[in-house]
Parts: sequence; C-alpha cells; structure tokens
Amino acid sequence: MKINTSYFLRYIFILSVIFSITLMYYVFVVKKQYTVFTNPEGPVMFTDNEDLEI
Amino acid sequence: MNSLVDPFICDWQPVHYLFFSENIWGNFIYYSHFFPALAGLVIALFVFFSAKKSKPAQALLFTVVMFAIWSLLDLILWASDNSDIIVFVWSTLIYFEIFVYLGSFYFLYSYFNEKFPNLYYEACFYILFIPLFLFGHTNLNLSGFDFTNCDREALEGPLWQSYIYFAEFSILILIVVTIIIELFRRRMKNSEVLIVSLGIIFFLISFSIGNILGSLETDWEIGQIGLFGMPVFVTILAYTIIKFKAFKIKVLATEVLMTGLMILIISLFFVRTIENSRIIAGITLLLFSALGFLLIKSVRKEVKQREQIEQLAVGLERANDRLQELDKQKSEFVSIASHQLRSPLTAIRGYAAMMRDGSYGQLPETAIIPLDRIHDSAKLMASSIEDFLSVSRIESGQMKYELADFNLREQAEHIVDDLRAEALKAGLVLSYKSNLTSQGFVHADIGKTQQILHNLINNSLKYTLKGTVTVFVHENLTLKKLYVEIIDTGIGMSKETIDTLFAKFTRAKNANSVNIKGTGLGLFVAREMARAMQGDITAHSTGDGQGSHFILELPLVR
Repeated sequence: MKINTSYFLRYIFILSVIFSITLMYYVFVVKKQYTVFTNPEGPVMFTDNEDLEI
Repeated sequence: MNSLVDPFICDWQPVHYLFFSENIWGNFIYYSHFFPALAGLVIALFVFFSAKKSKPAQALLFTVVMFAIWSLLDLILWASDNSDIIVFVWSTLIYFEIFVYLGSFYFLYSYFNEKFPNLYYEACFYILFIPLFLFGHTNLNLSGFDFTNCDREALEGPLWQSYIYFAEFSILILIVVTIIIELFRRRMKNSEVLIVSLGIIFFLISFSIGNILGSLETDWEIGQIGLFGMPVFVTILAYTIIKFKAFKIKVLATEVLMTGLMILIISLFFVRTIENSRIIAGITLLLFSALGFLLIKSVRKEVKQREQIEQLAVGLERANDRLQELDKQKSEFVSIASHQLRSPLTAIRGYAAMMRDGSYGQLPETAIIPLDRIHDSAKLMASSIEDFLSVSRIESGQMKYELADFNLREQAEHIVDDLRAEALKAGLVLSYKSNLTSQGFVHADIGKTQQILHNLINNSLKYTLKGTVTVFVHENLTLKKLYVEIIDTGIGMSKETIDTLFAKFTRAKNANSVNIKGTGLGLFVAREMARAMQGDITAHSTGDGQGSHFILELPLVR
C-alpha cells in the first residue's frame, strides 16, 4: 500500500499535539509538578512583590 | 480536585461550568471572549458550507476554530480558582496561538494559489513545533504559578517569553513575503490582494494586541478589547472569499456581513454601561436592521435577475449548438442524397442523348421532342444537384481549391464563344470586350472560375429577353485586381433584391416574370467560391427593367 507522505506527516503531527497536551495535563494537573512562587509569609493581596522568594 | 494552591487564602470564588465565576469582574471579559468567537465561527461556517471545496474557506474555518478554542481556554484562565487548571490551560494556549498564525498563513497562501502549501512548507512548520513537543510540559514552558499577590497568574518560561514570538514573527514574515510575491506576480488585482492582506494582518494584530499590551502594561484587561476586532476581520476575509472566489453567493455574503456587524452592535449593549451609549447603540441597531434588510433584498433581487440572464444565455447557447448540429446533418444529408441522384441522372442524360442521336436506330419524329425534354430536364436537374453539392461542401468546409496562375482573359473569351450559339438561339447578342494592358493572369482555381463565369453569363442570358449581354475584362494595376464585368439589358433588379441576391435560396422577385427555373443557389455558390479565392462578386442595377451588371474580381498576378 502506498503511503501519502503529506497525510502521514499530518497524522503524526496531530498525534504529537494530542500527546503533548495529554502530557501537560498529566504533569500539571495529575502530578501537580510545577513551582508555586510566593512570599515567605504567604501571598499578599494587591502589593508589589519585592520579597519574592524562589 | 484540590489544587496545589489553596484558593481560600486569597478568597478566590468557585467556578461554575469552567467559565462562570465571580473572579471575573464585570461582563466585559465574557463579551470580549464569547461574542468574537461565536460571530467568527458563524461567519466561517457560513462560508465553509457555501463553498466546502474552497481551500481559503477551509483555512478560514480552521483559523477561526483555533481562535474560538483559544478564547474559551483564555476565559477559563480568567474564571478558574484552580492553580493546576490555570497552569495546564495556560501551557496549552501556546499551541493554539501558533495555530491561529499558521491558519492565517494557510488562508492567505491558499487564497493566492488555490492550493495549500506543499510538503516542504509543512515540514518546516512541523519543525517549528518540535520544541513545544519536547518542552511543553516542563518549566521551559511555564516556570511556575505566581502566588505572591493573589493574581492567579502563571509565570512564563522561555517558550512563552521568547520562542512563541520567534515562531509568530517567522510566520508573519512568511505572510508578508507571500503578499509581496503576489503583488509582483500581478495575477490578481492589487486592490483584491490588499484587501485580503490587510484583512489577515489586522486579524492577527487584533488577536495579539491583548498579549502585547498585557505584557507591556501588566493589565490584561485593556488588551481584550482587541478581540472585538476579530469578527470584523473574519467578516472581511469571508467577504473576500465570497466576492472574488465564489460569485454566486453574493446574497450569503451580504447576510454574513450583516450578521457579523449585528452581533457586534448587540455586544455594545453589554459592554457599554453608560445609558446614553445604549440608546445610541439601540438606534444604530434599528437603523442597521432596516438598512440591512433592504440591502439583502436588493442584492437578492439582483442575483435572481442575473441568474435568469445566465440561464437564458445557457439556453441560447444550447439552442445554437443544436442548430449548428442540425445544419451539419442537413448538409450531410443533402450531400449523400445528391450523390445518389447524380448517378442515375447521368445514365438518363446519356441514354437520352444516344437515342436522340440514333444510336438505337431511327426514332419516329414524335419521339424526338419528348427525348429533347428528357435531356434538357435531366441537365437542369444535374445543374441543381451540382449547386446543392457545392453548398453542402462550402458549409462543411470540404470545398477544395487548386490555386494556380492562369490566363483569365482567354478563359472568359472561350466561355463567351461557347455560349454565343445559345445566345443567338435566344435572339441575343453576346459580345466580349477587353482593354487589358497586362497579360490577364490571375491566381485562382481554373475549374471554379470557369464555373463562376458560366453561371454569371448564363444568368444574364436567362434574365435578358432582348438586347445584349457584354462580357468586359479589365484590370486595376494599383489594386492588382482583374475584373470580369457581365453587363446585360435584361429585367434588372431593385435595391432590395440586390441586398438579398447572394443569400441561399434567394431569387430576384421578378424572376418568375421571365419563367426561369432555378434553385436560388447559383449566385450564393459563385460568390462563396470567389471569396475563397481572395476575390468577390458584386451586383449592380439601377432598377427593374434597367438591366443588370455583375462584376467578378480576382487577384491579378501579371
């Protein structure tokens, strides 16, 4: 069977996008692997973040 | 599902159905996201379903769908109280932003070229996405969640801060290059190229202005107003497709335009909070509705009329084709029938002549006259059949001409000599005159020329009851033409008769007065043959009873 290169690449591309977004969901929502930046005393509402702690 | 950040610390409000929450102050953000996405989708779907095979319509739908997804995801960001969801949705937005740019490029490219970019282009675009595939889920995309002052914002990593601008800028450069190439190619009108190009550029500016202003001012709300421009530019793009690519859906174009603008005006009701503005928007809406209705009605009428004209034109074309076909069939029929008739006629004429000459023994005197009549009638019939055959050949383009140089003066003289006896029999004087200074050579088919001269002189003899028929040969050396004039003192013709004399099956109105039989094809055939040999035949007469004057002209060689 002859494979149409253009369609094949497009198919792989769409699968990659879906896989990438699924991976994002898994990492950020399921595993919660992201850094939370805040002040030492916790968040301060409506102030400048001078004491930003990383 | 509990998020990593506790929403109660900052007093974030819970979200309902992903989009609705008190975290969004006022209605502006809802309208800036819902209405442009909805209006854009309505317009793009309208166009797509009107011209499904149109590549620009497909690209426009893809772009608008990507924009609608982007809008809804962005709205989730505004509404959500869940840091996990915010980080996840924010990280996916990068794909849809690039898709909107890419879709815009596909739209423009397919608009100009009637096809999508080839495999090499596509491969380059796929490469552009590789960093997103590899690092989209890492802190290179979003470095984390900013919980310093309860802003519900993600902190963007290098992919968001640099790479997306690189990708979008690259596509923008590609768009500009495509426009410049198209302007130089000059396949379309410059105005059309400019409308569609400005439409797409403003569409992208309108889309990105929020991000640019948000990054510069750290106030994300101001930039959202740009989203209202989206349906306007989608409308412009949709209009260009309809106007320039698919003419038959002009009504739809008007309706789409009206729908887009109406959605915009209605949205003003919700965005503007000042009472006066609402009144103005209300009046505008009323006026717009009335004018829009009239516009759609008039366009519909115009399109209907044009469709009727087009249908009539198609009908006429078909009728014309059918007539031509019938004419061809008629010519073929005449040709076949004439051939079938000619063979037995030859036998009849031949045997009648032989019997008349006594080849079958001496015949009684009473049989001679009927035999003469058989012979003459067969001759007349053969002549008519020859005319029919000539017409058939002329009309089917099968008449063959063997052009060569020959002395027309001599030919004319010979024909006059041949017919002199017949003229004398009818009590007429047939004379020949010439004042040629050249040799009298013409470039024509000798057989056809003889046939023409026979026809013309015979005609003059038939239509002249008394007097003379003169054949006068002369030339015009400047024009390089040789003329044979046949001047008679016959029944003459009126101007009306001369006008129709050379048409098929047409005879002089007073022809019956001299009891002449004929098919009315002789002069038609003669003139067609003369014209095919770069010559012509003209007829002149000062009126009934004033005699006639026919001129045959042919190209003089020497």
